[in-house]
Amino acid sequence: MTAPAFNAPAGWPTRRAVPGRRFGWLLVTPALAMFAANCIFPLVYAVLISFQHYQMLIPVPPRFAGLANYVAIFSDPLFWSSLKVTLWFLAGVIFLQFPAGFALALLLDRLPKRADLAATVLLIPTIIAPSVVAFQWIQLYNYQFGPINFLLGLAGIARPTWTGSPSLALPSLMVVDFWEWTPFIMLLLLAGLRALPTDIIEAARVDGSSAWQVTLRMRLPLLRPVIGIAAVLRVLMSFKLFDIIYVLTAGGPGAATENLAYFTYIQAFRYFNLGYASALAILQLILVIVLAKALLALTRQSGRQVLPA
Amino acid sequence: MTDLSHLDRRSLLRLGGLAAGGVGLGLAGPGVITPTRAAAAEVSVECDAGQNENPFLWKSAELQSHFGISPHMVGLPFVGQYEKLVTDLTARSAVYDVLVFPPYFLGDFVQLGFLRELDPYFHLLDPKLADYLPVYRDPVIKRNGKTYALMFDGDLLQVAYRSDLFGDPEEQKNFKAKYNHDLAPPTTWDEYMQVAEFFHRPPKLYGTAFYAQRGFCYAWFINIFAGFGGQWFGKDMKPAIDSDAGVRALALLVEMKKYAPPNILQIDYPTLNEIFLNGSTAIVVQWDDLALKVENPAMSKVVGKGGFAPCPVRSYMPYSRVMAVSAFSKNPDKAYQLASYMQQPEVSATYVYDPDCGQDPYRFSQLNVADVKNHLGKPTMSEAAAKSYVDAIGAGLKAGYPELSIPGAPRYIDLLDLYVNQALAGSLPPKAALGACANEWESITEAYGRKTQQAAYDAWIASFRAVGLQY
Amino acid sequence: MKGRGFGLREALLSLALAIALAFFLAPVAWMLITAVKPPGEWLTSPPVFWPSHFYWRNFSEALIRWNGLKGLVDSFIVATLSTLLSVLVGIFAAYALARYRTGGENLSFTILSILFMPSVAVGIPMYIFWRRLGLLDSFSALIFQYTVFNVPFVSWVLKSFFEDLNPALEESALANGATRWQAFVDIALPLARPGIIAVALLSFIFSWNEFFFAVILTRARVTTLPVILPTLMEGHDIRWGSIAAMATVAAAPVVLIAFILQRYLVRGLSFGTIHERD
Repeated sequence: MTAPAFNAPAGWPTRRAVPGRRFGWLLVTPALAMFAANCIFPLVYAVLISFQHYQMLIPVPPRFAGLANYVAIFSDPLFWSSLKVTLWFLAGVIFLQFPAGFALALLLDRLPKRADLAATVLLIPTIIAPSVVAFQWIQLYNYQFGPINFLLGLAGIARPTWTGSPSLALPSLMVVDFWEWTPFIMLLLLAGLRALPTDIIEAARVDGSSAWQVTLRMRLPLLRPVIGIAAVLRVLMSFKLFDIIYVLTAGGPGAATENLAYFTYIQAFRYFNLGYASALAILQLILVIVLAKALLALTRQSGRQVLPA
Repeated sequence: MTDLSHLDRRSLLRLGGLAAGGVGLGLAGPGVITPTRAAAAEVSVECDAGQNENPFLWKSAELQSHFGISPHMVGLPFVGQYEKLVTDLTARSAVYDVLVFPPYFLGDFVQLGFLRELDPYFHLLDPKLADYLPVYRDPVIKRNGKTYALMFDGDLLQVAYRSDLFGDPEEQKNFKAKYNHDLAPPTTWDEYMQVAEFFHRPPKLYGTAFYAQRGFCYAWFINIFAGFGGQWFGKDMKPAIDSDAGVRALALLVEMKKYAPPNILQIDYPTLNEIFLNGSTAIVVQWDDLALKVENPAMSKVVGKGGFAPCPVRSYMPYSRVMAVSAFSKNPDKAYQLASYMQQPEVSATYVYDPDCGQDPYRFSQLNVADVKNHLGKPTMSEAAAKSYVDAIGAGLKAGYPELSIPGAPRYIDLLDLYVNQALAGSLPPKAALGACANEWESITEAYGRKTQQAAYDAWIASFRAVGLQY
Repeated sequence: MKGRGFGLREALLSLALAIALAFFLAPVAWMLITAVKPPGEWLTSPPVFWPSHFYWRNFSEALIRWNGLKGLVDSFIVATLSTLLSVLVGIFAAYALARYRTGGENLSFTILSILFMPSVAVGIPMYIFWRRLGLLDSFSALIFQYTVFNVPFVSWVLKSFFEDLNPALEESALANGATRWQAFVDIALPLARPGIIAVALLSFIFSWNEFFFAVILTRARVTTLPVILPTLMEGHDIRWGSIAAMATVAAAPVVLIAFILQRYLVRGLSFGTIHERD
């Protein structure tokens, strides 16, 4: 009906009357409603409960506790060890899964013929449910009967006890996580690579830069937004890692594989120590928000489009 | 706009319609898609999924003909059964009529009003409680003088050992030479360690093995702790788990690792069975239903080579299962009848020794060698083995050490399990582990109210002393 | 580009690919093999790498005795409906965020933050909420939860997708008198098809595999496959063959769908296709 509608610049919302504003808000309403239902309601509830002594199993009415739960958390050695475990998993995501995922994406990018099929085949670990996969890994890691130890034995290597070893249990789970999610990262990065504008890159290559230089200097920086999305998604998922711990080790040996999510689960759903568990959840939320914002800031690009307008 | 765009708009509308229909279907789902429940005769039985559901299935024909009941099993996963039951029962869900669970849930369940008192229903079908072994009669199934549950499975930790190795003259000679007494089922924990050390010949034979994984490793600790005279709590409800007896017991368990297979920390219930049944260990402490599997050629490589004995000094009674009627059941009469029927002497005798269901005896009438031997066409034990087994159970229960069953028990126990596991994993020395555990126990006691906990604990201890158990 | 034909580099790359394939597929192969192994061959030393005969009873046990069939149906219902809903909601939000900059970066981050809430924190109040509504152990509860969890992913990916789409066609349509809705539905959506299919597929996968909320919110009437699987780990005599068979049954449908839709996967996530730029 009027002038073109979409010239609002990227970045901050503008105060000036953007045409179609109402239409936009209309479209966004269902998503906002979901946000309210899933975030605002539980958040308010969790915050309120975190300031109370509330144990569902004890016939004592909940009473105000101030910061008692938070103080208790910081003096709980199990909390700190669960935080440590969480950070280890996170380190695995950032320093192992991302480089490997990127390498795989580059690999498939160089072999364009079968890339789609290969990508889907490689994606199978991600497609299969973590909890489902975990059962197979119980067998694989079995000390006496598992195929991994069998092959190691053939090669003359000492057979480790994997999930039964206080020092190897956490790496064992990190391997499962790696196996499960690296292909997902590969998929996102491969898609990102495919979306890169070919002309600039061609120009650079014709210019005499080697393929390696082109990748590092040109393509990698252009991928920053995609890496950002992938990183935030994976970091969020890593904090919530639960299924494989639940199935494979129940947090053991000792508390070696008990991460924050599992620790919170036990407090909430086994002990019904709801005040404490809610405080744990709030702390976790704060941590996650900080990390996500940091990641997004790190990977933001100054212009959305790199092309000449 | 091309024709193609029309198509897409229509398909979008279709999509929207489908979504709306989907929401409607979802809301109506349970009614439309799942079959409606049968009439009043259906009794829903919650149980942990798997072999323990079998007796109910085996008896469904009789239940139908005697009472018009058709049992509907709801199998919950073994891990997480407690969480699910609590969440459902706090929601006052009427999904379950009969609940099957371990008695250490009873403290909380009774306090929270989840269970019906059963005494008013006894007239419907006499449960024949006089036949119960004393340790199960009042201490396990009653609270405050009222009956809240009926027995279904009486667990006990028992020593299983290789009778062929013990009976070998060469071995006997060498053992006597080394340790100055005869090779025989151990009567003290020091003797147990000697046997384990003597037979520890990796990699073909390991001295011993035990449940060291998170979940039940605490039971193996308590087993030893009981033998050293340990108690759960002392005066003023202070934890007594970190006493000298506790530290010694945990240190002994940690030391036992060196006579066990290298993957000891992965060992759980089925693995422990497997390790004994495939002949790779000389002596183990395991739940007493291992005995039924030893003589089964399909499962065991040591048929005829199993000997059974009570644990040194005292035998811990971890887990077990009882049947209770949910306070929210719409069908309490039929629910009670089902439970009472299943544990009748003549009915339970048919399955309590069946290797396919893992139940263990709890009645005098069940301690019957003939029943064990002639189990209804399934592989059975020899006369000697059956006698040894039944005697071991009798002796074990006489010196049985009961599992904590006051309010908060699952939490006390879960924490103990965590700290025992940490000690086994080497992250904490025994004294520190038990000390930390005691601290956690104190905060639980405070939360529940020290006075009420003390009262509950004292009442529970008193009930055991009343049937002659030392405590 | 690679006018050199099959050279050393090609060979090395193919070798690398082969190694990657072996690593990522070996456990799956093990699962498939175990699913057809007879009971005696489940736990042996040395392990059995190829069964002596194909023991299909594992599958019938998984499907019937352990309710795998019901699991398939329940999972399918939940995953399909939640995918449809989340894609719908996500498309709307993505378009608004991309074209109209509704709420700017802050709204975009807000929608993403649905994923930030720790599962347990959401679990407790939502459990109470559904219980009050009498909808515990119902399809509605799970479908709603999964829809909510998938919306951030869908809207974020599609937002980037729409942003990369050249607005010229929509602008000209608007200039020619089309309504905003028409511009959205008739122009933008068809162009976004690969992206929509890709996120729909991934949402379906996430819903199909979800474990935590399925465990909390369901009991007996609704049993999705990930929830059924732990029940096979009963204390005694673990039926590894049936577990593997059930795992195969749980994985097969999604893998199949992924293969059918494979050409949309990479393309759909490549924000915008190359030839749109000019």
